[in-house]
Amino acid sequence: MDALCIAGFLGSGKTTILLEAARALTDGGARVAVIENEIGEVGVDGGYVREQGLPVRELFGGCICCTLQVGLVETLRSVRDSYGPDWVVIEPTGLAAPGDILGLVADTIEGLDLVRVLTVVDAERWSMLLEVVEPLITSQLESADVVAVNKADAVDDQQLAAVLAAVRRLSGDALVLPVSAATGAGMPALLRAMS
Amino acid sequence: MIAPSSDPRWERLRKAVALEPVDKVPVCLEGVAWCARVTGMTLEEFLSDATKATKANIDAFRLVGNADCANNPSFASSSLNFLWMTGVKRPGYELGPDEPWQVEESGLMTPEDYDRIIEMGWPAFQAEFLNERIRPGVLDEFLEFLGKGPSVVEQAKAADMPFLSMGIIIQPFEPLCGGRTFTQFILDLYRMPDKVEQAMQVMFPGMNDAAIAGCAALGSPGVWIGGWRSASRMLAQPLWDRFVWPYIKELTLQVDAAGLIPILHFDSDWTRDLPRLLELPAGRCVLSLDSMTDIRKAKEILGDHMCIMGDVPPALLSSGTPDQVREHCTRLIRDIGPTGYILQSGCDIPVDAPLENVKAMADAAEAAAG
Ligand SMILES: Nc1nc2c(ncn2[C@@H]2O[C@H](COP(=O)(O)OP(=O)(O)OP(=O)(O)O)[C@@H](O)[C@H]2O)c(=O)[nH]1
Ligand SMILES: [Mg+2]
Repeated sequence: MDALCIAGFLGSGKTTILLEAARALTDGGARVAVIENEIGEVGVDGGYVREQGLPVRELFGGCICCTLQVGLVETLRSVRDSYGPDWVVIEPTGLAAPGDILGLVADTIEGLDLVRVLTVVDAERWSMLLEVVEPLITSQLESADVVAVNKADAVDDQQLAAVLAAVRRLSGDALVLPVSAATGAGMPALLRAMS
Repeated sequence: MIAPSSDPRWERLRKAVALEPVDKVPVCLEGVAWCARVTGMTLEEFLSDATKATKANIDAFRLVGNADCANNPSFASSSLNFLWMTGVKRPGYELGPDEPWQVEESGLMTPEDYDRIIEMGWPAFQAEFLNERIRPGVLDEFLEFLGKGPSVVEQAKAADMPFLSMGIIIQPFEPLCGGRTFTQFILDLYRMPDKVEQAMQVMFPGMNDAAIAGCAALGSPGVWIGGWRSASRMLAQPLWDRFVWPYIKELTLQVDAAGLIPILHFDSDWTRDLPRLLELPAGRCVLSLDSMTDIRKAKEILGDHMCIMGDVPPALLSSGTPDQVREHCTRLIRDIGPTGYILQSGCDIPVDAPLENVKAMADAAEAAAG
Protein backbone atom coordinates (compact mmCIF):
# COMPACT_ATOMS: atom_id res chain seq x y z
CA MET A 1 0.00 0.00 0.00
CA ASP A 2 1.26 3.46 -0.88
CA ALA A 3 -0.01 6.69 0.61
CA LEU A 4 -0.44 10.08 -1.02
CA CYS A 5 -0.94 13.03 1.31
CA ILE A 6 -2.51 16.11 -0.31
CA ALA A 7 -1.82 19.09 1.89
CA GLY A 8 -2.40 22.81 1.43
CA PHE A 9 -4.22 25.75 2.96
CA LEU A 10 -8.02 25.79 3.37
CA GLY A 11 -9.71 26.14 0.01
CA SER A 12 -6.55 25.78 -2.09
CA GLY A 13 -8.06 23.01 -4.23
CA LYS A 14 -6.99 19.82 -2.38
CA THR A 15 -10.26 17.94 -2.86
CA THR A 16 -10.54 18.93 -6.53
CA ILE A 17 -7.01 17.69 -7.21
CA LEU A 18 -7.54 14.62 -5.03
CA LEU A 19 -10.46 13.53 -7.17
CA GLU A 20 -8.39 13.92 -10.35
CA ALA A 21 -5.49 12.00 -8.85
CA ALA A 22 -7.78 9.25 -7.59
CA ARG A 23 -9.45 8.99 -10.99
CA ALA A 24 -6.09 8.69 -12.76
CA LEU A 25 -4.97 5.98 -10.33
CA THR A 26 -8.25 4.09 -10.68
CA ASP A 27 -8.05 4.32 -14.48
CA GLY A 28 -4.60 2.76 -14.25
CA GLY A 29 -6.16 -0.22 -12.50
CA ALA A 30 -5.26 0.65 -8.88
CA ARG A 31 -7.60 0.27 -5.90
CA VAL A 32 -7.87 3.66 -4.19
CA ALA A 33 -9.29 4.66 -0.80
CA VAL A 34 -9.56 8.19 0.59
CA ILE A 35 -9.21 9.56 4.11
CA GLU A 36 -10.64 13.01 4.76
CA ASN A 37 -9.81 14.98 7.89
CA GLU A 38 -12.17 17.87 8.19
CA ILE A 39 -12.74 20.97 10.19
CA GLY A 40 -15.39 23.54 9.59
CA GLU A 41 -18.61 22.20 8.17
CA VAL A 42 -17.67 18.62 8.73
CA GLY A 43 -18.69 15.91 6.31
CA VAL A 44 -18.77 18.12 3.23
CA ASP A 45 -15.64 16.83 1.49
CA GLY A 46 -16.24 13.25 2.59
CA GLY A 47 -19.75 13.28 1.20
CA TYR A 48 -18.58 14.80 -2.06
CA VAL A 49 -15.77 12.30 -2.57
CA ARG A 50 -18.17 9.44 -1.76
CA GLU A 51 -20.59 10.73 -4.40
CA GLN A 52 -17.76 10.40 -6.89
CA GLY A 53 -17.71 6.68 -6.17
CA LEU A 54 -14.62 6.43 -3.98
CA PRO A 55 -14.49 4.68 -0.60
CA VAL A 56 -13.95 7.35 2.07
CA ARG A 57 -13.18 7.41 5.76
CA GLU A 58 -13.62 10.65 7.64
CA LEU A 59 -11.71 11.86 10.65
CA PHE A 60 -13.17 14.58 12.81
CA GLY A 61 -11.46 16.49 15.55
CA GLY A 62 -13.50 16.70 18.76
CA CYS A 63 -11.74 19.91 19.56
CA ILE A 64 -10.48 22.73 17.37
CA CYS A 65 -6.93 21.60 17.86
CA CYS A 66 -5.51 19.60 14.96
CA THR A 67 -6.19 16.04 15.99
CA LEU A 68 -5.48 14.38 12.67
CA GLN A 69 -2.71 12.28 14.15
CA VAL A 70 -5.02 10.67 16.66
CA GLY A 71 -7.43 8.79 14.49
CA LEU A 72 -5.16 8.50 11.49
CA VAL A 73 -3.20 5.44 12.53
CA GLU A 74 -6.31 3.45 13.42
CA THR A 75 -8.09 4.58 10.26
CA LEU A 76 -5.16 3.68 8.03
CA ARG A 77 -4.92 0.23 9.61
CA SER A 78 -8.61 -0.32 9.23
CA VAL A 79 -8.64 0.83 5.58
CA ARG A 80 -5.64 -1.39 4.86
CA ASP A 81 -7.27 -4.45 6.44
CA SER A 82 -10.81 -4.01 5.22
CA TYR A 83 -10.25 -2.71 1.71
CA GLY A 84 -6.68 -3.57 0.79
CA PRO A 85 -6.08 -0.54 -1.44
CA ASP A 86 -3.00 -0.03 -3.59
CA TRP A 87 -3.18 3.67 -2.79
CA VAL A 88 -4.66 5.53 0.12
CA VAL A 89 -5.06 9.25 -0.49
CA ILE A 90 -5.15 11.43 2.64
CA GLU A 91 -6.47 14.99 2.73
CA PRO A 92 -5.46 16.60 6.04
CA THR A 93 -7.13 19.82 7.17
CA GLY A 94 -5.86 23.03 5.67
CA LEU A 95 -4.30 23.88 9.03
CA ALA A 96 -2.04 20.84 9.17
CA ALA A 97 1.51 20.45 7.92
CA PRO A 98 2.23 17.11 6.29
CA GLY A 99 5.48 16.87 8.24
CA ASP A 100 3.43 16.49 11.42
CA ILE A 101 2.05 13.14 10.32
CA LEU A 102 4.66 11.66 8.00
CA GLY A 103 6.96 10.19 10.62
CA LEU A 104 4.05 8.83 12.59
CA VAL A 105 2.48 7.16 9.59
CA ALA A 106 5.72 5.72 8.23
CA ASP A 107 6.72 4.39 11.67
CA THR A 108 3.45 2.83 12.78
CA ILE A 109 1.70 1.42 9.73
CA GLU A 110 3.02 -1.95 8.72
CA GLY A 111 2.74 -2.66 5.01
CA LEU A 112 3.05 0.97 3.96
CA ASP A 113 5.64 1.22 1.22
CA LEU A 114 5.75 4.80 0.13
CA VAL A 115 4.39 8.09 1.43
CA ARG A 116 4.28 10.87 -1.15
CA VAL A 117 3.38 14.44 -0.29
CA LEU A 118 1.67 16.78 -2.72
CA THR A 119 1.20 20.29 -1.42
CA VAL A 120 -1.35 22.50 -3.14
CA VAL A 121 -0.73 26.24 -3.25
CA ASP A 122 -3.44 28.76 -4.07
CA ALA A 123 -1.91 31.07 -6.68
CA GLU A 124 -4.82 33.50 -6.45
CA ARG A 125 -4.43 34.12 -2.72
CA TRP A 126 -0.67 33.56 -2.51
CA SER A 127 0.48 37.05 -1.51
CA MET A 128 -2.34 37.50 0.98
CA LEU A 129 -1.72 34.12 2.61
CA LEU A 130 2.01 34.72 2.76
CA GLU A 131 1.50 38.03 4.51
CA VAL A 132 -0.93 36.64 7.07
CA VAL A 133 -0.19 32.95 7.64
CA GLU A 134 3.38 32.69 6.35
CA PRO A 135 4.58 30.07 8.92
CA LEU A 136 1.71 27.75 8.09
CA ILE A 137 2.27 28.03 4.34
CA THR A 138 6.01 27.49 4.77
CA SER A 139 5.46 24.44 6.96
CA GLN A 140 3.16 22.94 4.34
CA LEU A 141 5.83 23.34 1.66
CA GLU A 142 8.69 21.98 3.74
CA SER A 143 8.06 18.26 3.36
CA ALA A 144 6.50 18.29 -0.11
CA ASP A 145 7.71 15.99 -2.89
CA VAL A 146 5.64 17.85 -5.45
CA VAL A 147 3.97 21.26 -5.19
CA ALA A 148 0.97 22.10 -7.35
CA VAL A 149 0.54 25.84 -7.80
CA ASN A 150 -3.19 25.73 -8.41
CA LYS A 151 -5.76 28.18 -9.78
CA ALA A 152 -3.35 29.22 -12.53
CA ASP A 153 -6.46 30.20 -14.50
CA ALA A 154 -7.27 32.91 -11.98
CA VAL A 155 -4.04 34.89 -12.23
CA ASP A 156 -2.14 36.45 -15.15
CA ASP A 157 1.15 35.11 -16.49
CA GLN A 158 3.25 37.61 -14.63
CA GLN A 159 1.59 36.82 -11.30
CA LEU A 160 1.92 33.11 -11.94
CA ALA A 161 5.62 33.43 -12.69
CA ALA A 162 6.11 35.37 -9.46
CA VAL A 163 4.25 32.79 -7.39
CA LEU A 164 6.17 29.93 -9.00
CA ALA A 165 9.48 31.62 -8.26
CA ALA A 166 8.52 32.29 -4.63
CA VAL A 167 7.21 28.78 -4.11
CA ARG A 168 10.39 27.26 -5.60
CA ARG A 169 12.47 29.24 -3.13
CA LEU A 170 10.49 27.78 -0.21
CA SER A 171 10.13 24.19 -1.42
CA GLY A 172 13.66 22.77 -1.37
CA ASP A 173 14.03 19.95 -3.87
CA ALA A 174 10.33 19.55 -4.58
CA LEU A 175 9.08 19.65 -8.13
CA VAL A 176 6.89 22.73 -8.55
CA LEU A 177 4.24 22.69 -11.28
CA PRO A 178 1.55 25.20 -12.27
CA VAL A 179 -1.93 23.70 -12.69
CA SER A 180 -5.56 24.60 -12.91
CA ALA A 181 -7.72 21.91 -11.39
CA ALA A 182 -10.72 23.83 -12.73
CA THR A 183 -9.71 23.82 -16.42
CA GLY A 184 -7.47 20.74 -16.29
CA ALA A 185 -4.44 22.70 -17.54
CA GLY A 186 -1.21 21.17 -16.28
CA MET A 187 -3.01 18.26 -14.64
CA PRO A 188 -1.55 15.49 -16.85
CA ALA A 189 1.98 16.64 -16.05
CA LEU A 190 1.14 16.79 -12.34
CA LEU A 191 -0.34 13.30 -12.33
CA ARG A 192 2.70 11.96 -14.21
CA ALA A 193 4.97 13.55 -11.64
CA MET A 194 3.03 11.94 -8.81
CA SER A 195 3.13 8.41 -10.16
CA MET B 1 -1.82 29.05 43.91
CA ILE B 2 -1.17 25.82 45.74
CA ALA B 3 -0.63 26.06 49.50
CA PRO B 4 2.00 23.88 51.22
CA SER B 5 0.31 20.59 52.06
CA SER B 6 0.86 17.33 53.89
CA ASP B 7 -0.57 15.54 50.86
CA PRO B 8 2.47 14.49 48.79
CA ARG B 9 0.53 14.92 45.54
CA TRP B 10 -0.30 18.57 46.20
CA GLU B 11 3.22 19.15 47.43
CA ARG B 12 4.68 17.78 44.19
CA LEU B 13 2.40 19.99 42.13
CA ARG B 14 3.25 23.05 44.21
CA LYS B 15 6.96 22.39 43.88
CA ALA B 16 6.75 21.64 40.17
CA VAL B 17 5.16 25.04 39.56
CA ALA B 18 7.64 26.79 41.87
CA LEU B 19 10.56 25.02 40.11
CA GLU B 20 11.67 23.32 43.34
CA PRO B 21 13.01 19.73 43.47
CA VAL B 22 10.35 17.01 43.73
CA ASP B 23 10.38 13.42 45.02
CA LYS B 24 8.56 12.33 41.86
CA VAL B 25 7.44 14.07 38.69
CA PRO B 26 3.70 14.69 39.19
CA VAL B 27 1.32 13.13 36.69
CA CYS B 28 -1.80 14.96 35.56
CA LEU B 29 -4.71 13.35 33.70
CA GLU B 30 -6.42 15.39 31.04
CA GLY B 31 -8.91 13.65 28.83
CA VAL B 32 -12.53 14.54 29.18
CA ALA B 33 -14.07 12.16 26.65
CA TRP B 34 -11.57 9.45 27.59
CA CYS B 35 -12.73 9.54 31.24
CA ALA B 36 -16.23 8.69 30.10
CA ARG B 37 -15.22 5.98 27.66
CA VAL B 38 -12.83 4.22 30.02
CA THR B 39 -15.39 4.13 32.81
CA GLY B 40 -18.20 2.86 30.59
CA MET B 41 -20.27 6.06 30.61
CA THR B 42 -21.70 7.14 27.25
CA LEU B 43 -20.63 10.56 26.05
CA GLU B 44 -24.27 11.60 26.04
CA GLU B 45 -24.59 10.84 29.74
CA PHE B 46 -21.20 12.42 30.43
CA LEU B 47 -22.37 15.71 28.94
CA SER B 48 -25.81 15.59 30.52
CA ASP B 49 -24.71 16.98 33.87
CA ALA B 50 -21.57 18.56 35.34
CA THR B 51 -21.59 16.17 38.28
CA LYS B 52 -21.78 13.13 35.98
CA ALA B 53 -18.74 14.41 34.10
CA THR B 54 -16.98 14.79 37.44
CA LYS B 55 -17.94 11.27 38.45
CA ALA B 56 -16.34 9.94 35.25
CA ASN B 57 -13.21 11.98 35.98
CA ILE B 58 -13.03 10.58 39.50
CA ASP B 59 -13.64 6.99 38.41
CA ALA B 60 -10.99 7.26 35.69
CA PHE B 61 -8.55 8.82 38.17
CA ARG B 62 -9.11 5.84 40.46
CA LEU B 63 -8.72 3.34 37.63
CA VAL B 64 -5.30 4.77 36.80
CA GLY B 65 -4.50 4.70 40.50
CA ASN B 66 -1.21 6.55 40.73
CA ALA B 67 -1.77 9.86 38.96
CA ASP B 68 -1.38 12.98 41.09
CA CYS B 69 -4.23 15.10 39.79
CA ALA B 70 -6.83 15.69 37.13
CA ASN B 71 -6.60 18.78 34.97
CA ASN B 72 -10.25 19.90 34.82
CA PRO B 73 -12.64 17.93 37.01
CA SER B 74 -15.70 18.58 34.86
CA PHE B 75 -16.78 19.51 31.34
CA ALA B 76 -19.75 20.76 29.31
CA SER B 77 -20.09 21.01 25.54
CA SER B 78 -21.69 24.44 25.99
CA SER B 79 -18.27 25.69 27.10
CA LEU B 80 -17.07 25.04 23.54
CA ASN B 81 -19.92 27.13 22.12
CA PHE B 82 -19.02 29.85 24.60
CA LEU B 83 -15.27 29.81 23.91
CA TRP B 84 -15.33 29.62 20.12
CA MET B 85 -18.67 31.05 19.09
CA THR B 86 -19.30 27.97 16.98
CA GLY B 87 -21.90 25.27 16.91
CA VAL B 88 -21.09 21.92 18.48
CA LYS B 89 -22.58 18.62 17.35
CA ARG B 90 -23.42 16.65 20.47
CA PRO B 91 -23.71 12.96 21.24
CA GLY B 92 -27.34 12.05 21.80
CA TYR B 93 -28.58 15.02 19.77
CA GLU B 94 -26.95 15.55 16.40
CA LEU B 95 -24.76 12.44 16.85
CA GLY B 96 -25.08 8.91 18.18
CA PRO B 97 -25.06 8.52 21.99
CA ASP B 98 -21.38 7.64 22.18
CA GLU B 99 -19.89 9.58 19.28
CA PRO B 100 -17.36 12.24 20.26
CA TRP B 101 -18.66 15.81 20.06
CA GLN B 102 -17.53 17.91 17.10
CA VAL B 103 -16.98 21.61 16.92
CA GLU B 104 -18.69 22.98 13.82
CA GLU B 105 -16.87 25.95 12.43
CA SER B 106 -19.35 27.27 9.93
CA GLY B 107 -18.90 31.04 10.05
CA LEU B 108 -21.91 32.25 12.01
CA MET B 109 -20.24 35.61 12.60
CA THR B 110 -20.22 38.23 9.82
CA PRO B 111 -17.84 41.12 9.08
CA GLU B 112 -20.61 43.51 10.22
CA ASP B 113 -20.44 41.90 13.64
CA TYR B 114 -17.21 43.76 14.43
CA ASP B 115 -19.27 46.95 14.47
CA ARG B 116 -21.96 45.33 16.55
CA ILE B 117 -19.36 44.22 19.10
CA ILE B 118 -17.97 47.75 19.20
CA GLU B 119 -21.46 49.23 19.70
CA MET B 120 -22.98 46.67 22.05
CA GLY B 121 -19.94 45.57 24.02
CA TRP B 122 -18.86 41.96 24.21
CA PRO B 123 -21.14 40.47 26.92
CA ALA B 124 -24.35 41.68 25.25
CA PHE B 125 -23.17 40.66 21.80
CA GLN B 126 -22.05 37.26 23.02
CA ALA B 127 -25.32 36.52 24.79
CA GLU B 128 -27.34 37.47 21.72
CA PHE B 129 -25.06 35.56 19.39
CA LEU B 130 -25.14 32.38 21.44
CA ASN B 131 -28.90 32.28 21.73
CA GLU B 132 -29.88 33.59 18.33
CA ARG B 133 -27.25 32.19 16.04
CA ILE B 134 -26.00 29.09 17.81
CA ARG B 135 -28.97 27.68 19.68
CA PRO B 136 -31.67 29.13 21.92
CA GLY B 137 -30.93 28.25 25.53
CA VAL B 138 -27.26 27.48 25.03
CA LEU B 139 -26.17 30.34 27.27
CA ASP B 140 -28.46 29.13 30.06
CA GLU B 141 -26.97 25.66 29.70
CA PHE B 142 -23.51 27.10 30.12
CA LEU B 143 -24.57 29.19 33.14
CA GLU B 144 -26.18 26.13 34.69
CA PHE B 145 -22.90 24.26 34.21
CA LEU B 146 -21.01 27.09 35.92
CA GLY B 147 -23.55 27.04 38.73
CA LYS B 148 -22.56 23.45 39.48
CA GLY B 149 -18.99 24.60 40.19
CA PRO B 150 -19.29 24.37 44.00
CA SER B 151 -20.72 20.83 43.90
CA VAL B 152 -18.05 19.74 41.43
CA VAL B 153 -15.38 21.00 43.81
CA GLU B 154 -17.06 19.21 46.74
CA GLN B 155 -17.28 16.01 44.72
CA ALA B 156 -13.58 16.12 43.78
CA LYS B 157 -12.59 16.87 47.37
CA ALA B 158 -14.75 14.10 48.77
CA ALA B 159 -13.13 11.68 46.32
CA ASP B 160 -9.69 12.96 47.27
CA MET B 161 -8.86 13.92 43.67
CA PRO B 162 -6.61 16.96 43.35
CA PHE B 163 -7.25 19.09 40.26
CA LEU B 164 -5.59 22.07 38.64
CA SER B 165 -8.23 24.19 37.00
CA MET B 166 -11.91 25.06 37.20
CA GLY B 167 -12.01 27.33 34.20
CA ILE B 168 -10.80 28.25 30.75
CA ILE B 169 -10.24 31.81 29.67
CA ILE B 170 -9.30 33.22 26.29
CA GLN B 171 -8.07 36.23 24.41
CA PRO B 172 -10.31 37.85 21.77
CA PHE B 173 -8.53 36.17 18.84
CA GLU B 174 -10.01 32.75 19.62
CA PRO B 175 -13.76 33.48 19.66
CA LEU B 176 -13.49 35.84 16.69
CA CYS B 177 -11.55 33.24 14.73
CA GLY B 178 -14.01 30.52 15.70
CA GLY B 179 -17.05 32.65 14.89
CA ARG B 180 -15.74 33.82 11.53
CA THR B 181 -13.85 30.58 10.57
CA PHE B 182 -10.09 30.61 10.24
CA THR B 183 -10.11 31.40 6.51
CA GLN B 184 -12.46 34.35 6.84
CA PHE B 185 -10.79 35.65 9.97
CA ILE B 186 -7.32 35.82 8.46
CA LEU B 187 -8.88 37.58 5.49
CA ASP B 188 -10.32 40.11 7.95
CA LEU B 189 -6.87 40.54 9.48
CA TYR B 190 -5.59 41.32 6.00
CA ARG B 191 -8.39 43.57 4.78
CA MET B 192 -9.54 45.36 7.92
CA PRO B 193 -6.98 44.91 10.66
CA ASP B 194 -7.88 48.19 12.36
CA LYS B 195 -11.53 47.21 12.67
CA VAL B 196 -10.62 43.82 14.13
CA GLU B 197 -8.26 45.48 16.55
CA GLN B 198 -10.90 47.98 17.60
CA ALA B 199 -13.32 45.12 18.34
CA MET B 200 -10.65 43.26 20.28
CA GLN B 201 -9.95 46.33 22.37
CA VAL B 202 -13.64 46.64 23.20
CA MET B 203 -13.87 42.95 24.03
CA PHE B 204 -10.79 42.52 26.15
CA PRO B 205 -11.26 44.69 29.26
CA GLY B 206 -13.26 42.61 31.71
CA MET B 207 -13.74 39.79 29.23
CA ASN B 208 -12.47 37.18 31.67
CA ASP B 209 -13.01 38.90 35.02
CA ALA B 210 -15.98 36.75 36.03
CA ALA B 211 -14.20 33.52 35.10
CA ILE B 212 -11.08 34.48 37.02
CA ALA B 213 -13.07 35.61 40.08
CA GLY B 214 -15.18 32.45 39.89
CA CYS B 215 -12.11 30.22 39.85
CA ALA B 216 -10.64 32.09 42.79
CA ALA B 217 -13.90 31.78 44.75
CA LEU B 218 -14.02 28.04 44.09
CA GLY B 219 -10.49 27.58 45.40
CA SER B 220 -9.21 26.45 41.99
CA PRO B 221 -5.40 26.37 42.01
CA GLY B 222 -5.17 27.66 38.45
CA VAL B 223 -6.99 28.74 35.31
CA TRP B 224 -6.41 27.61 31.76
CA ILE B 225 -5.48 30.23 29.25
CA GLY B 226 -6.36 28.62 25.93
CA GLY B 227 -4.37 29.11 22.75
CA TRP B 228 -5.50 27.18 19.69
CA ARG B 229 -5.80 29.00 16.41
CA SER B 230 -3.61 31.81 17.66
CA ALA B 231 -0.52 29.56 17.65
CA SER B 232 2.82 30.81 16.36
CA ARG B 233 2.64 28.17 13.61
CA MET B 234 -0.49 29.82 12.21
CA LEU B 235 0.33 33.50 12.06
CA ALA B 236 2.96 35.74 10.55
CA GLN B 237 5.06 37.40 13.23
CA PRO B 238 3.75 40.98 12.88
CA LEU B 239 0.16 39.77 13.24
CA TRP B 240 0.95 37.55 16.19
CA ASP B 241 2.75 40.43 17.86
CA ARG B 242 -0.23 42.69 17.34
CA PHE B 243 -3.31 40.47 17.70
CA VAL B 244 -2.21 37.67 20.02
CA TRP B 245 0.68 38.24 22.35
CA PRO B 246 -0.33 41.50 24.10
CA TYR B 247 -3.62 39.86 25.13
CA ILE B 248 -2.08 36.59 26.32
CA LYS B 249 0.48 38.50 28.32
CA GLU B 250 -2.08 40.75 29.97
CA LEU B 251 -4.37 37.80 30.75
CA THR B 252 -1.52 35.90 32.34
CA LEU B 253 -0.75 38.89 34.55
CA GLN B 254 -4.43 39.18 35.51
CA VAL B 255 -4.60 35.53 36.52
CA ASP B 256 -1.38 35.80 38.48
CA ALA B 257 -2.61 38.93 40.24
CA ALA B 258 -5.72 37.02 41.32
CA GLY B 259 -3.47 34.50 43.07
CA LEU B 260 -4.11 31.74 40.54
CA ILE B 261 -1.66 29.73 38.43
CA PRO B 262 -1.86 30.68 34.75
CA ILE B 263 -1.88 27.37 32.85
CA LEU B 264 -0.98 28.24 29.28
CA HIS B 265 -2.74 25.51 27.36
CA PHE B 266 -1.11 25.97 23.97
CA ASP B 267 -2.10 23.61 21.17
CA SER B 268 -0.25 23.42 17.85
CA ASP B 269 3.28 24.76 17.42
CA TRP B 270 4.42 27.75 19.51
CA THR B 271 8.17 27.13 19.14
CA ARG B 272 8.92 30.40 17.31
CA ASP B 273 7.64 32.55 20.16
CA LEU B 274 8.86 30.62 23.21
CA PRO B 275 11.36 33.39 24.14
CA ARG B 276 8.44 35.79 24.57
CA LEU B 277 7.19 33.72 27.50
CA LEU B 278 10.19 34.98 29.46
CA GLU B 279 8.18 38.21 29.81
CA LEU B 280 5.77 36.35 32.12
CA PRO B 281 6.31 36.10 35.90
CA ALA B 282 8.96 33.51 36.87
CA GLY B 283 8.11 30.40 38.86
CA ARG B 284 4.37 31.00 38.73
CA CYS B 285 3.08 29.78 35.36
CA VAL B 286 2.64 26.42 33.66
CA LEU B 287 3.18 25.90 29.94
CA SER B 288 1.08 22.98 28.73
CA LEU B 289 2.07 21.65 25.29
CA ASP B 290 0.34 19.22 22.95
CA SER B 291 3.40 17.63 21.28
CA MET B 292 3.52 19.97 18.31
CA THR B 293 5.75 22.57 20.01
CA ASP B 294 9.38 21.47 20.47
CA ILE B 295 9.23 20.67 24.19
CA ARG B 296 13.00 20.29 24.47
CA LYS B 297 13.46 23.76 23.07
CA ALA B 298 10.87 24.95 25.58
CA LYS B 299 12.92 23.41 28.37
CA GLU B 300 16.10 25.01 27.07
CA ILE B 301 14.58 28.47 26.84
CA LEU B 302 12.10 28.42 29.73
CA GLY B 303 13.38 25.69 32.06
CA ASP B 304 14.48 28.19 34.71
CA HIS B 305 11.41 30.32 34.23
CA MET B 306 8.25 28.22 34.17
CA CYS B 307 6.95 24.73 34.76
CA ILE B 308 6.39 22.70 31.59
CA MET B 309 3.55 20.23 31.25
CA GLY B 310 2.91 17.62 28.56
CA ASP B 311 3.34 16.27 26.01
CA VAL B 312 2.87 12.53 25.51
CA PRO B 313 1.62 12.40 21.91
CA PRO B 314 -2.08 11.56 21.69
CA ALA B 315 -1.39 9.21 18.76
CA LEU B 316 1.05 7.25 20.91
CA LEU B 317 -1.51 6.98 23.71
CA SER B 318 -4.17 5.67 21.39
CA SER B 319 -2.13 3.49 19.01
CA GLY B 320 1.12 2.66 20.79
CA THR B 321 1.90 -0.18 23.18
CA PRO B 322 2.34 0.30 26.95
CA ASP B 323 6.08 -0.30 26.50
CA GLN B 324 6.33 2.42 23.87
CA VAL B 325 4.43 4.84 26.12
CA ARG B 326 6.65 3.98 29.10
CA GLU B 327 9.81 4.53 27.08
CA HIS B 328 8.58 7.83 25.69
CA CYS B 329 7.59 9.08 29.16
CA THR B 330 10.91 7.98 30.65
CA ARG B 331 12.73 10.07 28.05
CA LEU B 332 10.47 13.04 28.73
CA ILE B 333 11.08 12.83 32.46
CA ARG B 334 14.83 12.64 31.85
CA ASP B 335 14.91 15.55 29.40
CA ILE B 336 12.22 17.90 30.71
CA GLY B 337 12.11 16.91 34.38
CA PRO B 338 12.44 16.08 37.11
CA THR B 339 12.28 19.72 38.30
CA GLY B 340 9.67 22.08 36.84
CA TYR B 341 7.81 19.38 34.99
CA ILE B 342 4.34 17.81 35.08
CA LEU B 343 3.88 14.68 32.98
CA GLN B 344 0.68 14.77 30.99
CA SER B 345 -0.76 13.84 27.63
CA GLY B 346 -0.30 16.37 24.83
CA CYS B 347 -3.73 18.04 24.95
CA ASP B 348 -6.43 15.46 25.72
CA ILE B 349 -5.93 11.75 26.17
CA PRO B 350 -7.74 10.50 23.06
CA VAL B 351 -11.12 8.93 23.64
CA ASP B 352 -9.95 5.51 22.45
CA ALA B 353 -6.68 5.31 24.40
CA PRO B 354 -6.40 1.97 26.23
CA LEU B 355 -6.26 2.23 30.03
CA GLU B 356 -2.96 0.28 30.00
CA ASN B 357 -1.32 3.09 28.03
CA VAL B 358 -2.43 5.76 30.48
CA LYS B 359 -1.31 3.57 33.38
CA ALA B 360 2.05 3.17 31.63
CA MET B 361 2.38 6.97 31.64
CA ALA B 362 1.70 7.21 35.38
CA ASP B 363 3.93 4.19 36.11
CA ALA B 364 6.82 5.76 34.22
CA ALA B 365 6.88 8.68 36.68
CA GLU B 366 6.89 6.30 39.63
CA ALA B 367 9.64 4.16 38.12
CA ALA B 368 11.78 7.20 37.37
CA ALA B 369 11.48 8.32 41.00
CA GLY B 370 12.95 4.94 42.08
N1 LIG C 1 -10.47 29.28 -10.28
C1 LIG C 1 -10.19 28.07 -9.78
N2 LIG C 1 -10.87 27.61 -8.73
C2 LIG C 1 -10.55 26.40 -8.25
C3 LIG C 1 -9.53 25.61 -8.80
N3 LIG C 1 -9.42 24.48 -8.10
C4 LIG C 1 -10.36 24.54 -7.13
N4 LIG C 1 -11.05 25.70 -7.22
C5 LIG C 1 -12.16 26.15 -6.37
O1 LIG C 1 -11.65 26.43 -5.09
C6 LIG C 1 -12.60 26.07 -4.10
C7 LIG C 1 -11.97 25.11 -3.11
O2 LIG C 1 -11.65 23.90 -3.75
P1 LIG C 1 -11.48 22.55 -2.92
O3 LIG C 1 -10.96 21.51 -3.87
O4 LIG C 1 -12.70 22.25 -2.18
O5 LIG C 1 -10.32 23.01 -1.94
P2 LIG C 1 -9.82 22.29 -0.61
O6 LIG C 1 -8.38 22.67 -0.48
O7 LIG C 1 -10.13 20.85 -0.65
O8 LIG C 1 -10.68 23.04 0.49
P3 LIG C 1 -10.86 22.63 2.05
O9 LIG C 1 -11.02 21.15 2.11
O10 LIG C 1 -12.07 23.39 2.46
O11 LIG C 1 -9.62 23.10 2.72
C8 LIG C 1 -13.78 25.48 -4.84
O12 LIG C 1 -14.73 26.45 -4.98
C9 LIG C 1 -13.17 25.06 -6.16
O13 LIG C 1 -14.14 25.05 -7.18
C10 LIG C 1 -8.82 26.15 -9.94
O14 LIG C 1 -7.92 25.55 -10.51
N5 LIG C 1 -9.18 27.38 -10.37
MG1 LIG D 1 -11.15 19.69 0.78
